[in-house]
Amino acid sequence: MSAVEALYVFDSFSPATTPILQHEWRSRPATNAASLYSLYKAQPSPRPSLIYLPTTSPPILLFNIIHNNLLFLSPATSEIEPLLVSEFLHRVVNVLEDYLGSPLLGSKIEANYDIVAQLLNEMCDDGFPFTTEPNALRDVVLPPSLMGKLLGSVTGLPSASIPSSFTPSPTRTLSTIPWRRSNVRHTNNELYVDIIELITATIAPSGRFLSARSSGTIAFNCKLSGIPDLLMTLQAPTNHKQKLGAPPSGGLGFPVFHPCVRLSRWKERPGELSFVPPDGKFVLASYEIDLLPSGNPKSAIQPQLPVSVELKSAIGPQSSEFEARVFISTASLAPTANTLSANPFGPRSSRSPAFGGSSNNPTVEEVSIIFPLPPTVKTLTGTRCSRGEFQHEGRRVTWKIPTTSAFSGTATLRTGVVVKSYGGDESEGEEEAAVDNGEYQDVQTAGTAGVNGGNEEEKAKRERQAKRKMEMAMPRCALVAFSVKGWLASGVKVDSLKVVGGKGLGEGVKPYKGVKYLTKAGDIEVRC
Amino acid sequence: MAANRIRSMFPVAPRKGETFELRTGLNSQFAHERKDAIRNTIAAMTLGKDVSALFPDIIKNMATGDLDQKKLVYLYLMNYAKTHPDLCILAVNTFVQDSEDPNPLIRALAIRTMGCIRVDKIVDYMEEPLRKTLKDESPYVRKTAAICVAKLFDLNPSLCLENGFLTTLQEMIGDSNPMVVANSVTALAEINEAAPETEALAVTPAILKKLLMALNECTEWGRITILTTLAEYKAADVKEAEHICERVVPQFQHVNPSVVLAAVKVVFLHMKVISAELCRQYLRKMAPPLVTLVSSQPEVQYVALRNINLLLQKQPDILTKEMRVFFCKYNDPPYVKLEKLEIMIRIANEKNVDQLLSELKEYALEVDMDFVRRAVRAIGQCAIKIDSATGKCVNVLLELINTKVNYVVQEAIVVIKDIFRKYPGYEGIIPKLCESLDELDEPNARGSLIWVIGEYAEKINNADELLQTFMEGFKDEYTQVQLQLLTAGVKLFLKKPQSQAVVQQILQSATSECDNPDIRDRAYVYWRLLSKDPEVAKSIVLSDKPPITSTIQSLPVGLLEELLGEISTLASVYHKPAATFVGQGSFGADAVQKRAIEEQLQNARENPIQASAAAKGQNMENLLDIDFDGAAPASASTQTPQPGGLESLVIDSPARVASPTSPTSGTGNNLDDLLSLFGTESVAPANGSTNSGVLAGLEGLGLGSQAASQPQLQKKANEDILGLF
Repeated sequence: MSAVEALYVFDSFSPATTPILQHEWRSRPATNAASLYSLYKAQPSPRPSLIYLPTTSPPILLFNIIHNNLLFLSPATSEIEPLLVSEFLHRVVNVLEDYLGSPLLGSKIEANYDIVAQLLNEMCDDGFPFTTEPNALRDVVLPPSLMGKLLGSVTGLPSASIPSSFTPSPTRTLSTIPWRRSNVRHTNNELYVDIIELITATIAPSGRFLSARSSGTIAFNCKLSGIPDLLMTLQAPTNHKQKLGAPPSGGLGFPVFHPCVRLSRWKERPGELSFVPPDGKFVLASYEIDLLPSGNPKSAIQPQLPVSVELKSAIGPQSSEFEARVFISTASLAPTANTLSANPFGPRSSRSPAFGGSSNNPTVEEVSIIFPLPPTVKTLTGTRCSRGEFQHEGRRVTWKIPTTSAFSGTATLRTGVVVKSYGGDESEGEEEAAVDNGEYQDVQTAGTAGVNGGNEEEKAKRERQAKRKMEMAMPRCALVAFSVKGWLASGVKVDSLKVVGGKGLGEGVKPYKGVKYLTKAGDIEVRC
Repeated sequence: MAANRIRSMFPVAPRKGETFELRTGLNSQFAHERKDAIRNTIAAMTLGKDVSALFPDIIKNMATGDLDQKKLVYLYLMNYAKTHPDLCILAVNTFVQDSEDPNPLIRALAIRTMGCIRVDKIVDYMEEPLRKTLKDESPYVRKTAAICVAKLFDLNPSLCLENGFLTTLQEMIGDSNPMVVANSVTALAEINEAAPETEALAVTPAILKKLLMALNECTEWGRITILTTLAEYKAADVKEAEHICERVVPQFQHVNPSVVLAAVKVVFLHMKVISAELCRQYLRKMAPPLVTLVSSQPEVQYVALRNINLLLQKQPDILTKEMRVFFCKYNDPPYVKLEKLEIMIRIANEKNVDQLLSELKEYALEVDMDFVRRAVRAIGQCAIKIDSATGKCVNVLLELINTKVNYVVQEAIVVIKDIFRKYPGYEGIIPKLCESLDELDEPNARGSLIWVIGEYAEKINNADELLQTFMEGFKDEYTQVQLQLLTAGVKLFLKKPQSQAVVQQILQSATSECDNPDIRDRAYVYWRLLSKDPEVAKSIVLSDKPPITSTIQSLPVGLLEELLGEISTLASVYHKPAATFVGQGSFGADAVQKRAIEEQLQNARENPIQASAAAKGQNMENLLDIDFDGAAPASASTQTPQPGGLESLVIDSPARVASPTSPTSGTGNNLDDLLSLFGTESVAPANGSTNSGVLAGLEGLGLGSQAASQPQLQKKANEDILGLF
């Protein structure tokens, strides 16, 4: 039966092999934390998230995730569902972040061991993950209270001396809704919706999209008193509708929902999300949209990205240079933005002022291009770029292009490549060994080719090899990163968001609602 | 932080002073000092230090009205209940008291901690509190108590049954609170696994209904348990299976990937019995969640890919429209790339093959050698899988050969050989292949090229010259290349008798200069064959080879079925039964052998033609025995193969997993021919030819290609098993 056996947290920068946290849900495992850590470190990088250690007794499967330099390890000695464990580890990270504040640091865990231990005990009973909803946990475990700290600093007494009636004790009546804690009260009722899309795409040298997907997340930050019942209507632009095909999905591709969403409502009326939200931050739904229409990338209207790259390699006199040209333009985004503004979404369209781009005027930011270099590259010479700055580090060049709010235009980067000397590196050595010298000469002498002919042949061969070597030293692709505020690649938007029912929220209270959109390049690869 | 610093200063043993300080704090007269000391003790415990020495001092702090403090003390107890249960027995009275506390959190903590104390004596104290908490008004307490029953069962099954806890637990599946239901199911599943005879979780129609009801309401972890239970349940009839599928499908939209995969498993397993039309519908519905899993975080991705690989081996057309999702990214780790490649080949069909080919060509030009080779091989697998795409595949391969990148060329030639084995009519490209003759240094590539030359000797004008160039280094070649050279030489001679010189040179060096008996023997057999009657030789050596049908690796059917039942578990990631890689007892050689035998028997049952061919083979073997060393009794052969047979079985089954050329039955004819040949020819073979050597020679003789000799090996194994039973 699947059970999470233990959790160890290490500081991956610290040289010490002792964990900063260890928690065992079942009896003490045979292999201790330190040896697990050294076995983990012994694995070659990149380490898979699931490592099989056959040498321990009994054999161990080691689940691991890294978060902010913290390494989370969980060993398993029996059959278990791997996704369950990795998902559980992620939940632990989320809950700890929720309680201790983001970013999660080793020192924070160390300062709040009592809380962490309580949390781990609640999240998993006898190895069975159970309560992982932050809201439900808040009913049983108190977060490190600001109140206590304040009082402690004022009175000079340690926090423990404050009578417990001061601090809100865990409620005796536990909430009936598993994801929402009971007795939520806020002085300011606010609702924030962030829709964030990550684009994953592969683009052929010609500029044609080989694949393009956008995975969206609808993140919510809900600060409403009582038990509100919300209704959110999403709209996918019409031009996506037919290509998204399935009408039941409501244009959201394939959505997955937080358990609070009433699935039956969504099924009946796609696009309508009806739910009682958890308190605080949570992910309401996420979806996947294929930006290329069904199956046939050729006939499709190509998706428009605000940043495009043209990569030319093996150019220049020695064909030892490559050049990248970047086009940044928000013009292509305008049509989508226009359709958005054509459907004004009422008073809610007010956004938090700190937020730069609006849907009428999307801005491109954080543009950077990464060129991964093959191992044969020794160094780069004569690198120059028309905008921004570049950085050559290890086997990659990162080129950052600053953009002002209304920037659009082109930028170029050109650089020469110096290849490692012959025989100086492994792959060349292999190539040399590949030619069976003895036999090759035999053939040469056996053949009737004259000395001159042989030389020419040699020369041609050498040239060919040199060219090949140069080709092998060229970057094969460029990885593009950017973020656009106020624009969504898929064109999804929030049509309306209403409080339709529930209790606890006063009659006249009009909660403040804010919506923002953000598109980021998740993994965009331009080949050359 | 401070604690950590202190610890790193004294890495070996906890500082004596520290424990002492804590102890002083725990016994302080001030409540706040005590509470801080408890906090610090918990911190030390979480760091992994042994603070069990403080046990008596902690216990003193247990009876307190301060809820926070009480919880912390319980945390301490809980930790040591698992590791030092004997200590915790001291605190039992307080547990019992606290299990009646007005606060549900305290009640739950008490019963949970009691469950963790794994000492027999605790059982007597536990009965009453457990009975009460199971009926508690708070669902939080009930769900904790439910898990506690499983803990108690582990400790003392009979007591658990006598007290009716198991029955209570079963009743709790009908609880009004879904969290309680989920935990009850988890506990029952645990008990059921530990002791199947209790039938703790016998799913009846009534229980099924309750489970399906709870499915939509309980926590994600509860859903996983329920889904796993549903997957193991065998639906009574089609209607029930349909109902289960219908209720489970909405779980595809859960945010937790583990739930999604568990739901896929349930639907996939129950789909077998429902009607074909519905089945197709569900397969369609299965595609989007799988795609979503593939595009999520890397750790989910790999598990998803491995599971998809399994599903595709059973249902190859689930994801044919989603090819693009599997395109490899530059940043993908190598193991993900290889897995994606394998999946892409599995879902390749006439419609998406163009897309796939241009993608594969792209990969073949990358720098990572392993990945490049795999990509080239994939092109070949495509060609063999999809008839209509062969031309395109060959063109791509030729383009790749033109790049002159050593390892690409070599792999391409190996792949082209396979294409020749299935499709005639591409002889036009042979000159192109021969151009890169000098570049080849791997035995596989050299062997493949030689095979091609031999096979199409009549169409290659300078075939004899080409073989001659290989002959120069004959002695230094790998065995595999030497064998190919031998066979190719014979083929050349049979097709072009004028090139006798070459074949003679080959046979000469093989028989006189070679130390390897396999090569020597094969050379002798050929030589004799040729000198006796070239026509007979022709009918053997140049006989039609059975075409290969697939070069895509697949799991054996039995294993696949077993693994499909294990979808979403570790077994499905490693494509091995769980017992082989985890668990206390090692998966013994016996078990491996048993499994292999079962599998072979199964094959024999499913494939009577093959089995009968194998039976013929046995005859032949006996005859050979008599012929070669007439004194040996024929019965000897029925005894000798047994150990050898099993051995070959054990060796054979992994080998087949590694590279299964599909078993074919056409080779029987060749063997018969040979049989008759040796029957008429009663001359004993020249010095030192052992039976095994001749057999090895026969294998190569009949099939001409090293890979193709596998079916025969398999047959031999079959036959041995048939003999055994």
